[in-house]
Amino acid sequence: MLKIIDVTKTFKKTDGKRVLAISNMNLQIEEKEFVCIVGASGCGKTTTLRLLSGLDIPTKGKILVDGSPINGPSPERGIVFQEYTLFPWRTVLENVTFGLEMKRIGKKERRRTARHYLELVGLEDYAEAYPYELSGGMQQRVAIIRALAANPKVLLMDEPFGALDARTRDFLQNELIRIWTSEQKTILFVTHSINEAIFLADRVVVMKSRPGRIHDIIEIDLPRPRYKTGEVFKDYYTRIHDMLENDLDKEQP
Amino acid sequence: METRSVSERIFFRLLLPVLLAVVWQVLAIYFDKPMVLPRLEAVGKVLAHPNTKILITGSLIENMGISLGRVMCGFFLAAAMAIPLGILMGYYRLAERVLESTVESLRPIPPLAWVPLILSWFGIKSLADWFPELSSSVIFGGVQFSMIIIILIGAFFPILLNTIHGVKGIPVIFIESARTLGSRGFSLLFKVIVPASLPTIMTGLRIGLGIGWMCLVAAEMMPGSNAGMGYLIWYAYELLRTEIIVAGMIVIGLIGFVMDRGFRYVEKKQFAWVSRMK
Repeated sequence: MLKIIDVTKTFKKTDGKRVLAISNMNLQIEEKEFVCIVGASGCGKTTTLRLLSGLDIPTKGKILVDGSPINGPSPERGIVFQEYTLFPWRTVLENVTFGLEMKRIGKKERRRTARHYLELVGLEDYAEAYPYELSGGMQQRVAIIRALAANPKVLLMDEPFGALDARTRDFLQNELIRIWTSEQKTILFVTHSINEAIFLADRVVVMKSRPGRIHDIIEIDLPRPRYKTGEVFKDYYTRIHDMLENDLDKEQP
Repeated sequence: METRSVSERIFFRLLLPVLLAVVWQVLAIYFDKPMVLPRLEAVGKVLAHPNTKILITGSLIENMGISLGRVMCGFFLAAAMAIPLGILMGYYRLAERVLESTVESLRPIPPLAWVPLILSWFGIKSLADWFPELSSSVIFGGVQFSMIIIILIGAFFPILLNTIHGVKGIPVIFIESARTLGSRGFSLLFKVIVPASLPTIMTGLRIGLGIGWMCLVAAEMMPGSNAGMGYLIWYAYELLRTEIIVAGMIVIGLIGFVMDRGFRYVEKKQFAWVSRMK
């Protein structure tokens, strides 16, 4: 269980001015829950994710994982970025085994685990390939299983499908739901696509900017598999869309 | 225009060298002054007998061996110092702040400008003075301390600068990804920082070796030198054996060329991922 308690985060810009990225945020994420954060750019959604990963530290407040505070990055909380982050000097298989290597797990077991995950996403034939030989969508699938192979409790995803074309994106959204169902992980997924959020999430956290804060949390009461064309789906879309629309208006005075 | 056939490409590659050789030979025959412009067959005769003792300096092969031994000593020392230092300066801002001004003020001094100072410090002492067991070795027996230092200085800076550049050029996101996968300390250094910057370090090594080689040949012309390719051509000059000078220069150039190509080959083979990265 993840708990964000009264968290504030300020950044120092290069000109010395302080920017309030997140103000007084409170959020609780249950085990095995799928939560999406949506919001306009600059609303602090990526900052929230980085704080949860331990790559950044809150200015005020605290973040608890199963009751204990976060102390730097950990393989307990795997992260997938929008950018392609596979290590280019390693093969696909060696990328997936990286986290296990860090845990000092034996070579045989590492490879066995990696192969299992490669099969899970249908990339077992690419084990010996290098990342540059893979398409963007394949690279992101490998990035997801690289994080999963380290057996995290929580998977943090920062617009992982943002750089992909629409069809690949749809495909990977379905893949992700399938993986989430079979692997039983808690997932926190940041996106600026409302559709993506409604399609994936148990709950959608809508964030607003200046300062970054939670505006509303919407429970998505739709059975899976979901279809983006249904009436209820569209109602959710309109609701969230209207909330974000106002935020955009404020951005342009 | 890569539709040309192999023989055509070889033709264009060899066109200029062959033309130059012909012009050289014609001029050599015309002037008939072998001490100024030796004929190609005289040069070829020197090159064709690399095991024959030339003058009193030993054979071509021996002098090559001595020069290569020296350059390798200096080069490996330079790499052993410059790579760790470069990683340190590239990764830690504080290390860079502390060291940068010193490095930047020493770097513009040409390696050969160090020669008088180094000779006055170390004289003509060779490795054999410290390690007597080496004195019987053809290659390492003649490795003079001052020469090693000059090569070291020549090779050091390209390796250092490229290492710093390589480490600084690692996308932050690689390091962050590695950290969230549980990597830190030595594992981060050896599994991420070193492999990610290795292609750039290799470029530094290649340039460093080339400069080290040039410095060596010059250093071997300095007082106290008694062997090596640089000494050979200098000694040949004093005896006006121009064909040996030219043969020596060709060998020096070829060795430099082969070393550079060797490195390029490794770079291309081992780091195919670099050129494919967007």
